[in-house]
Amino acid sequence: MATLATIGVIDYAAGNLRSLCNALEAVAASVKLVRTPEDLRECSHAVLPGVGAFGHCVDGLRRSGMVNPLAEWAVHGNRPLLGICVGMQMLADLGEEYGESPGLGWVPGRVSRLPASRSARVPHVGWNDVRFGPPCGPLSGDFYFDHSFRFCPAESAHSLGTATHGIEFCAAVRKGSVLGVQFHPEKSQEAGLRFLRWFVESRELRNC
Amino acid sequence: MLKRRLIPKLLLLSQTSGEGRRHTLVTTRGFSPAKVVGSPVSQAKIYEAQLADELAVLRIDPGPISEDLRLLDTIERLATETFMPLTVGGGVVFADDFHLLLSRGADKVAINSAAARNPTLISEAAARFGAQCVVISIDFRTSMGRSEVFIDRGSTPTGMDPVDWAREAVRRGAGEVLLCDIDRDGSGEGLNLDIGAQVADAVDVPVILSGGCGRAEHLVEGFLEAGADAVAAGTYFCLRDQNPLQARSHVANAGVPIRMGT
Amino acid sequence: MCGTIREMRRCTLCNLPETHETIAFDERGVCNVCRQQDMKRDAVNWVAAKRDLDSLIAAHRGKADYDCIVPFSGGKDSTWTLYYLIKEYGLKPLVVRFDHGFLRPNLNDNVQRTLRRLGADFLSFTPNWKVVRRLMLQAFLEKGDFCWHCHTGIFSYPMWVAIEKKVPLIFWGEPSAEYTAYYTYGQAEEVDEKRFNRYVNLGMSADDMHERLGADLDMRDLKPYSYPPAKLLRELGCRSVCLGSFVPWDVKRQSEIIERELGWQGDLVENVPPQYRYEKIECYMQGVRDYIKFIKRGYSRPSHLVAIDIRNGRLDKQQGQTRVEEFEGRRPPSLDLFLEFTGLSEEEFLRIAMSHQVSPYEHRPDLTIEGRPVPDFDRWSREGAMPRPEAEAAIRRWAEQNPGSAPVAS
Repeated sequence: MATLATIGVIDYAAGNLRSLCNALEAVAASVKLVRTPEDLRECSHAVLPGVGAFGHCVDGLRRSGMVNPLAEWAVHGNRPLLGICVGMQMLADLGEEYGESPGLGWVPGRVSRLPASRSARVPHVGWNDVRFGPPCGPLSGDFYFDHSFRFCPAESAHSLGTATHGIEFCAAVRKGSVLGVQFHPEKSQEAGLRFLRWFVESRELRNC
Repeated sequence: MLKRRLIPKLLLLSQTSGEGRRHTLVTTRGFSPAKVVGSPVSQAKIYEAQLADELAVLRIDPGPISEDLRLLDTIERLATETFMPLTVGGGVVFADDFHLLLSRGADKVAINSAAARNPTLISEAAARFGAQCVVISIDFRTSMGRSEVFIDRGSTPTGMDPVDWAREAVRRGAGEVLLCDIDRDGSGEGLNLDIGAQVADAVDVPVILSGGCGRAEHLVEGFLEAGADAVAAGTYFCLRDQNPLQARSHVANAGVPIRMGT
Repeated sequence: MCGTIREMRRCTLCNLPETHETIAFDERGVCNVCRQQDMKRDAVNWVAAKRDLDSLIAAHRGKADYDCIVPFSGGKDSTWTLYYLIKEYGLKPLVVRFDHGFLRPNLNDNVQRTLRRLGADFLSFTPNWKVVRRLMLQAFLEKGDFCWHCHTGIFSYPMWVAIEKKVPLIFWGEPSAEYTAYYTYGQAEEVDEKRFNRYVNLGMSADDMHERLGADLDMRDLKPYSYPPAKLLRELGCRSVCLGSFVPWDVKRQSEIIERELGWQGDLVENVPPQYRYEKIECYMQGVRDYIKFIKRGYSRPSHLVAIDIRNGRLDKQQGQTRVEEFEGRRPPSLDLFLEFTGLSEEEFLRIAMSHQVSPYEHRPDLTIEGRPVPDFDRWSREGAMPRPEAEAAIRRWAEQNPGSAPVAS
């Protein structure tokens, strides 16, 4: 019998939480805003949102005091953590927006600018198809993107899904129980809800 | 590959009646409010059910958006009741307004008159929130072969050429251009493909064309002839037996890559 | 035959034109409605679906005053649905009808016969005609479709009954994937608010219609057309489903069965080939509805019915085309009634309908031929004509706000 999922949304002043909480409530039992380590302890899953500049978001998370508790809980504790958009990018070692700045280093790799052209304009905005590898293959489909930078994982084994915009780039990463998606599942209607439902219900993720 | 987008425009205007003061949705003609067509949350839910790619929510009441508490509540309600991207604009004056709107649920913020008066607003917003959040909204009229940018809901001429201004705004950090031909607005006569193509050619960021869609062909023309990444339409979906699902089929049948499934 | 229908792109299989809502053509020019029929035949596990139906019914049987609600018009689809649920499962349904105001005499005979032979409680609701009349004109102006009250009433009213009577299970008939691509056969089509918003309400909720009418209507008058709040339906544990999602829909076979077992009788219908006596017999405004569709889209019911026959191998395209040409696009006698109900002149009617044309079709009114009346035409009620000043006021307000479209009232 599956235990009820409580999804912690990390609230570190990184913008739009409303849609995210709403989407998670549509697929999960309960959603909790997480501001302290105590809040995190009550959760079975965590979601790390992110809007704006990479460096700004990493600083914001550090200032909130949640970096070490999250590392303890998710990385060492092997609990499911999902970074979304800049929340995914933050998982990297390094980001190249406004010069190099350090990320959380939980999934090896670096974040660099998407190469732009007239036929592949940047920011990459709109619906694009994501091809997932196992176990997320059936979740492949069109998702909503809005970004100028992308994650280059150091190890191909950590790439969970790709999309193409001029070049093929990494749309999702996974290392153990830590995941990141470049697209916005909370803005991707049915496809996004299906992905979030998998994240919340996957036994495989919880047994990492 | 990245699909092109169909974006319904929701124009919000405050009304007072026996029901009290509330926001209604209107269509416009040449930017003048023409007809009340519904209520914002109801229409947003409908567009979502009809698989619109995203929504453009534009406030046409005067005054700064930060003082319009009812609008902020409406945005919050929209973000709570739908799972689709929202671009919000109309009276955005300061970079702090971005934070206000993003925290209420907007994904992108459109700036228009304030940016034309004070272009440093663009770079400030892009630096703080990222170019992907910043949409430069440009309205223009054409007279005797010359196009000119107008601000303040089409009432104040600027002397600027829309193509030049688009180029400058993007240089300063805008991540997307929302272009609207004021004279064609609500006319049903078709988009301004000429200026649309020139702007699409002048910038490296996505371009959203709007103003004048009346037939499904106009949407197709915007994509194929002007090279638009997205087409925004207000009147087209409100006053005709049309909806985004029908429109997307028509566009797909013309060979334009557009999202089809759920 | 009128208009420029030969210029429209058509499905290489069933001949439906590109103006059909949501139609999309694949690389061989075959449309998605045809491919959905393939999916229905080849890709749906109907054995598993029937088991799901068994479980669904078992979970609800005997738990409330009624096992389920069956929204009912008396047409072939709802009659089959009712018949199937009673005969196959022995359910105790509450049969609920939203009376749109245009029920034909033969239909009422069918309904009585069906209910007496099957045995079920029956609830019928007829909304305020003065409100209906106003909504008909407004919807025709706004969207070129005067049936808004009917679409929204049929799908909303039974939900309110479900809430009031505390009966959570509701069985509708055919899934929309039979005829359009708003949903596919691969999806579980719940008959819920999302579907209501996707296409049933023509893009206008009751709140939106209220605003469009100038907010001077008592909101209570719009309750039958308002979808209940999600919260109330959740609390009820509502399951609102199509029988055709669990059991493959076969109109021809189903019609034969209800004719034989219930004495259900079809009827001649305006401007439709007589071979289709089972189709759309329940509404005497059907002819006007089809005529408006033809004006907007260059095809209507005959093409739709012929397409079904072509897909099922009962007709080839040439035979189908001949049948269509003989009946489609004619002016129905019932238009006279519609003009009285809405207070419009025929010229105004044409101009409003033509303002909603779907490209690339362009209607040619000068090519229109008069259609024949059906036998019960003289028994259709003409009571309740809209006073001309009321119509003029609505048209004038709409024309002012809608430049380049509606005619100014004469």
